[in-house]
Amino acid sequence: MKTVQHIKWFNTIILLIVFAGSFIVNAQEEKQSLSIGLTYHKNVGVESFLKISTSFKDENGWQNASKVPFEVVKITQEEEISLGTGMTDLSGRAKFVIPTDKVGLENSIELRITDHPVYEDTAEPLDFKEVDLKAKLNVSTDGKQITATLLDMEGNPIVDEGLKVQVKRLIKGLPIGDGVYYTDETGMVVVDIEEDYHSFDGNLIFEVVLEEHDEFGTVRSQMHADFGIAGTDLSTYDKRTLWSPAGKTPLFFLIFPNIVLLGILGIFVYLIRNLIKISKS
Amino acid sequence: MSTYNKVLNDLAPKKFSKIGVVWVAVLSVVTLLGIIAYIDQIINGMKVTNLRDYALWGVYISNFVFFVATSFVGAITASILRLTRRKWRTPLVRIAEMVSVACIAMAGLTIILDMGRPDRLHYLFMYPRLQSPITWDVLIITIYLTFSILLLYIPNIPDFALLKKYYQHKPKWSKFYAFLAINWRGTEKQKKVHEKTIQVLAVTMIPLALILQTIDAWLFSTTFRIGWDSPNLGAYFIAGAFVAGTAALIATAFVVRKFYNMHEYITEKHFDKLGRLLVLACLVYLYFNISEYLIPAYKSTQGEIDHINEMFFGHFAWMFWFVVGGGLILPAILLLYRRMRKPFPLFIIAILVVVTSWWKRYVIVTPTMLSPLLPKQGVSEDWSSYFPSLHEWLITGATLAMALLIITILMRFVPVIPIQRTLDENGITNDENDDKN
Repeated sequence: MKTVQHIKWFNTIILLIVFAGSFIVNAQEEKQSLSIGLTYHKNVGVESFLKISTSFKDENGWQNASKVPFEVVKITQEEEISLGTGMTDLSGRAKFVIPTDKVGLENSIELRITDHPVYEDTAEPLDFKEVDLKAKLNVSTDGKQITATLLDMEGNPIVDEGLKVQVKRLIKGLPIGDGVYYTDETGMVVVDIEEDYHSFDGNLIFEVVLEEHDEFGTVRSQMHADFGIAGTDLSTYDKRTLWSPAGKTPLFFLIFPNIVLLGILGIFVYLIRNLIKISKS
Repeated sequence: MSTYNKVLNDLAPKKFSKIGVVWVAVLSVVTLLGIIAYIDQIINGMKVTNLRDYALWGVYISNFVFFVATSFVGAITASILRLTRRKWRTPLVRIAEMVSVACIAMAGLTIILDMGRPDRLHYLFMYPRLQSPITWDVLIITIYLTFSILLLYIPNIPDFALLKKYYQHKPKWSKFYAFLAINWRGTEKQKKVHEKTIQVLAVTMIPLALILQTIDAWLFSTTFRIGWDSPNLGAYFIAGAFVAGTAALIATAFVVRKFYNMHEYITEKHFDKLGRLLVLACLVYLYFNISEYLIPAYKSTQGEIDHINEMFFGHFAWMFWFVVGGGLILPAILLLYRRMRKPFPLFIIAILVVVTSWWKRYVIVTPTMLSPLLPKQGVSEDWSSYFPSLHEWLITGATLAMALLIITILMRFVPVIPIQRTLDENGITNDENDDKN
């Protein structure tokens, strides 16, 4: 009897230790550190925005950190101005549009993640300067040409900087000629458009891109043109085909089987009528 | 007892004997096991089967094609022999019609068993696409079932009227047969309309049967698959149905003759004729088989030659040679001898042909399914082979049992041999009634 009592006490103590131990372990569990990707992008005359990506590392390697709230702050010598808040999507990415009036000649931005239950407090700084990328499409009888000028905000040319000149496509731009052209002493590139380009409706979007520059970020200037070669629409969506839905059945399949079906129905009605005749005669 | 009464006594439906009761009980148990397996399939989904990405048509579809083929027998005997005015067919017609109704009903049911979501069956009727062979199949099976039932019912009307009188001492039965007889009194006008109706029905059944077999074949040949990609498949299936249907009729006729004691009505002459018909069917089907395998083998495209090697020498070789050797060549040779066309040897041969006909459908469906044109990638190794699971066997077994059960129950209530026609063909009249008149 006494032994049983001892075992009971022993079990109770073990359970308490296990319970308390797990509580302590949970309490001491560390938050995960977060890696932040932050780049500046500018579509000239359209918008300026930040591309944000968040990820963390676990035993399976790098994973996207989804639904992470963040705040973007602009830091000046005098003060810190909150530009707004946002949240990453399921793939751990976000696009944060910077109000045009908040972008200055030189900018110091910080992305902050605070008070998150899973991730450590983190801040990612980003400095960038404004730049002026002017692009123009010249169409004449002699040919088609793109000219682009890269100037700083004081009007000084930025020399020997690589600019991508391309046709905008769904996934990745289609390079024109060599694809990358370097600015001359006036900050200019001139690119001849010698090939014909196809598009769905004949409309094309040409782009000049200063890509992932250390000081200026990614700056993109777009031009619209209508001299593309329109593609032929091969879609059979509106046609009556073998693979179209019931509403667009080919006429042969609509008429012939229905004639057969009507014929069979006619015979069926005839047979039933005869049965009624037999019954009543 | 007058000849008239003797014929009536002989041919009127009878209660099951003890063997009959045991037979029905066994079939019911097999059916019940299948129903339990099917309920489990509904609850747990198609994962209880061995059907996977490649073998997505397996034993259920093989069984379906077998039922469709066997249902052809109704059209052969009831229609073709009727229109060619072969009088010897009379005792076999009703049996053939019963087999036909049972098989086409089970063919329709088997399709439902193969569906992952049978609760959406009505979608086939609500949203049909006439471009799809599946829609054609659903339509033709429904139509063929309806016309097969009519073909069984309408010629029986005079017999039901006879049975109404025959069972006068049993009012319930008499009432039942009176209902089915739809006021038949055998007047000249009724006979004329009746004869015309049967004639139209018989003529209609032939194209319907051909359409049924052809659409069944087109389910396969309209898909671009090795082994099925043949414009001859419609004719090939019709020839196969001719074999399966005739063999099923012979086997059923033998059982009816033995257990309903119909030796006087279904004679050795009938079996001899059916045996000859089976030889013809086997030879025609053999011709189509040679055509179906010889031409792809001659062309020897990579996929086709792999498929043929697999059938002739590979995993399916035993099934293939059992089907071709045991189900076509051997019967065709044996049945050339008169003594092999005697009832019992013919029955054994017919059973062999029915069994091989079932396996033939398995050989048509499964090897092709396992020979996709695109390479097999990213799936587990066992998906590359197929053999039915216990669930599939139980459910398939149940459908076969249910088909036999339908035939057995029909024989309980419907005369297996047309009474009125037998009387008419033998010039037997009801003397008592004549005297009274």
